Amino acid sequence: MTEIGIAEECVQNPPVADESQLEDAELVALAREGDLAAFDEIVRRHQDNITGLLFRFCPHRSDLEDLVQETMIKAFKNLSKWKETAPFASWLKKIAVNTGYDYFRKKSRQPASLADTSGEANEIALEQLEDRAEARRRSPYTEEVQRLLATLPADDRTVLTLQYLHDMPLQEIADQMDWGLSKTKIKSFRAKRKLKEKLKTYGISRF
Amino acid sequence: MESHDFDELKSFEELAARARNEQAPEVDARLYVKAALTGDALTGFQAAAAKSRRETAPADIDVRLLVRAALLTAPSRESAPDWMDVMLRAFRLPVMRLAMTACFVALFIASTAANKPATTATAAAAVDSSANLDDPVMAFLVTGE
Repeated sequence: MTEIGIAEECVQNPPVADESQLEDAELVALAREGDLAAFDEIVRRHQDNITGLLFRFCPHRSDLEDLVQETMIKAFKNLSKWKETAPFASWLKKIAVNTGYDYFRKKSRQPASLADTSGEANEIALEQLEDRAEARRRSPYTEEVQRLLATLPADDRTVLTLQYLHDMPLQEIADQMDWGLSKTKIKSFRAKRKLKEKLKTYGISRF
Repeated sequence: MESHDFDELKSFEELAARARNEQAPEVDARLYVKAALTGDALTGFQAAAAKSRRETAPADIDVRLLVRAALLTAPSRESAPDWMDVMLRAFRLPVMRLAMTACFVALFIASTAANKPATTATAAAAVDSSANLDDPVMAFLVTGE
């Protein structure tokens, strides 16, 4: 059944159960059958945690909102892949980490430029500047850390973001990224070395 | 050199520790997710409107100079009206449109009626004048004889 089909069915047959009383697994079972209200409850229940995690990747509000939405939509599309042996929150967190990683990859491929002549691109760039200014006011340290990490490759940036900003243990990073502990340790070590080089080159102001 | 490197990373770690204390803004993705999953334009609009409500108008807007400039450069009411504009506005009225269409039809009929005898007379004059043509080829072409 297509997503629109699922949605239409959901609109036609609204669920009768009170979703807030149900467990994650029960909500997922309902959402798999096309109950969008059940999925709405899943989003309501987990969006704060996901926002908190993705905020470490991106303190800019509009991008952050997009990342949270993207995570939830990916989760909905892949609900059938979730196995009840693992907590739903961990599975969702993994999707969020991967969404953040993809965001870093996209950012490293397409750096924002005001030199672009198209009006739409300029509008987007201006919006990003406003977002950045707002983030600098509201969360100056996260903004500064991400500015320093921005020159690193996406996987190094992801490891250091999770390690330093989210305070995530290496074993958990390994699980989230499907890397294995040894690979994660090596990546973390190399990422720190690269960061040192960058800090030596560009300098870092003391806080 | 090594201790210098260490200091820089230490500084970064301190910065990261402060960053960890910063709180994420409240994000409610439910409307957007619903809009994306249902493809419902209205839900999408509601989500955008909810986002817009969070935005605050800039507080430092002062339009006094702009208003003064606009008033100084605006055309005065005493100046001559733009007749073309007046006519176009008038033509937008259905009654005016009907009246002008009737006027054009009447003019067309009148001109057709006036041209008809004149055309016949002109043809006859042409035949008469062709008879006086000296050149037999031209005479043949005009009269067929």
